[in-house]
Parts: sequence; structure tokens; C-alpha cells
Amino acid sequence: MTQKEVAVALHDQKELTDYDLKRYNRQMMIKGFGEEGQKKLKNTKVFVAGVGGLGSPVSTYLAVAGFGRITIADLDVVDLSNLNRQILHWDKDVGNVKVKSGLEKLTQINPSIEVEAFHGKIDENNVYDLIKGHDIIIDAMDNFPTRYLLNRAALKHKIPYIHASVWGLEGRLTTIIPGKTPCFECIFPNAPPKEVFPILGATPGVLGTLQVTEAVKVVLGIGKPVTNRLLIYDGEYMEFHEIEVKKNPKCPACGGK
Amino acid sequence: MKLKVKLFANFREVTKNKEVEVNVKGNTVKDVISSLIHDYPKLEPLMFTGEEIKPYVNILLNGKSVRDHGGFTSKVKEGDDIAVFPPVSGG
Repeated sequence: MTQKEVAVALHDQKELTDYDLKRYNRQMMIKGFGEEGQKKLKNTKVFVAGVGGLGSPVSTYLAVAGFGRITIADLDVVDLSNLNRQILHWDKDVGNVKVKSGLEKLTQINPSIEVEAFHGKIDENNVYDLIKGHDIIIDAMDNFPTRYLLNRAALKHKIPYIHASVWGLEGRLTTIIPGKTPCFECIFPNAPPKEVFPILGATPGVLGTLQVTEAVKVVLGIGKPVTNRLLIYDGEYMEFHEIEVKKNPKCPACGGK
Repeated sequence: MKLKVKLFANFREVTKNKEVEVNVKGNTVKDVISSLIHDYPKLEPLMFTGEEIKPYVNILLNGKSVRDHGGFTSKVKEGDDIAVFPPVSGG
């Protein structure tokens, strides 16, 4: 797959301001980025599913990179036990709705972007409408059933879907381009049981920032995204492994297409 | 035949090591897993439901999923690289 093919189609184009040119100067120096790349980010709408361990670094780095429109979705309220990893939420936010806490921080960390919040459960009735109109989906969920729903919506609307999951000092990452790569259900046809999992905050920090790196690459069409591969991060031994993943011709979600 | 098996996430909690050497009786992927369970019986409830390997348990033979390439009856030989990992769901 060429990089041009995975570049996201973009719609209504907002121009860069003098503020943008200064604010994003250092990243526009990256090869293949430039003003044109920054303008693409400004005109990209990202859906961040979950503002917990992964969603905190994901939405923070999307915001400071200047992704122009970010939607955050979560049903939970902040619990004290979240604070070892969910860095968007602070002690003062315990008991408050996570998307409200997230919205407050994100609009302060970058007041020049638009952030929208959806407070509620992503289910089979609303997922297709929630996702519609977004250019990228970032999977920062904590369970497989919702990931399967997001994958279905990504396939229906042909939206790139960047998956990560974490456990302890380990993580997984893959980028899914509907119609080109295996879908989430091809790679994980069976869900593991839901559990209260051990986790160090730095682990979703690693995986979340990798997801944002992938989002930037997919939008700009630079580098080589982690497509057709599953990256396994082993923080305990500080190793990165990679495995090849394939389309499943019998996949109930995409039919191997 | 002796084979090295790599383990991840909660499987590793049982073996206490990222990699263990298993004395394999037989020559299939399933034999490797049975021999692994023989050495580490606490892995059995994590990997098996009754006689069957749990559907979400991923087994890689030389970096490729056995689900996509030949299944649990795939033949193994000395020097092969086996990795076993569960999907993890946390976010």
C-alpha cells in the first residue's frame, strides 16, 4: 500500500493563521509535514473513544499537535483509582464526568481547536451516527465489545481506526484501514474476559503517543503505518515485537474484504 | 525435543519468565502447549476450556498465527519459535 492511498480525504479547508504558523513551527520542520501538513491536521476531525488511560495522552497530544476538531467520548466519572494513569483527570475532578474534565483541560492546553464531548455509552444504536463525519477513530476503549462496535462503524464509513490496548507493562498497537488491511475482528475474532487489569500509567502513555504518531502519519501520508502488523510492546523487558496479521475471509465484520 | 516458548501478560505471571524451555512430547503445536501445561499446571485454566484451547489465546509459530497457518496440528521442529499471548483489553 502506498502512503498516498492511506492519506485521509479531507473536506472543508480552514487556512493556517499566524498563530498556527508560530505555534506549530517545530513540527512543520518534520520531513513531509510543512504548512500543507499542518493545514491537513487543522482540517481533520478525530474521534477519541474513551478518555481514560489511553484517551488522556491521546487527546492531549492530538490537541497540542493542532488536530482541528476532536470529539471525546466516555460514559464514566472520575474515580480516585484512575489517577495513576488518566492524566487528564486530577484530584479535584474525582466524582465528575470524565468528558467534562477532559474538555476543560483540552480547551486550555490548546484554545485554538474545537473539542466536543459525548457523555454516554457507545452502543449499537448510536455508534454509526457518533462516528459519522470523523476522519480518524482512535480506540482508547477498555473493553472488546465496544471495540467491535467501533470497528463495524469504521468499516461502514471507511474511516481509519487506530487500535491500542494495555495490560501491566505491556501494550498492543495496530492501524486498520478499512478495505485495505485486516479489520479489528479479523485480528481479534474472540474477546478476552473483562477484568480489572494491572496497569502502570506510563504504559498507556507509550501506546497513546504511538497512536497519535500513527494518526499524524495516516493523515499526512508520511512514513509507514503499523498496518497488517500487530505491535507488541513488552515494557517489562523493554522489547518491541511485531507479528503479521491477515484478513480473515470468514470475518463476520468485513468478510475479509 | 526441547523448544523455547515466549509468554506474555497474565501467562507470564505463572512462568515468572518471558521465555521458558519446554521438553515437548510429540511434534505439533498442541503438543507444545500440552507439555507447557505439564510443566506449569497453573496455565491450564488460563489457556484451556475443557479440552480446547480458549478461542482468544493467540499462538504464534515463528511469528505467524497458527490460526491463519495450519492450526494447532501444525508440525514443530527443533529451533522453532513459539509465542503464546492473550489479547489484552485495557485502555
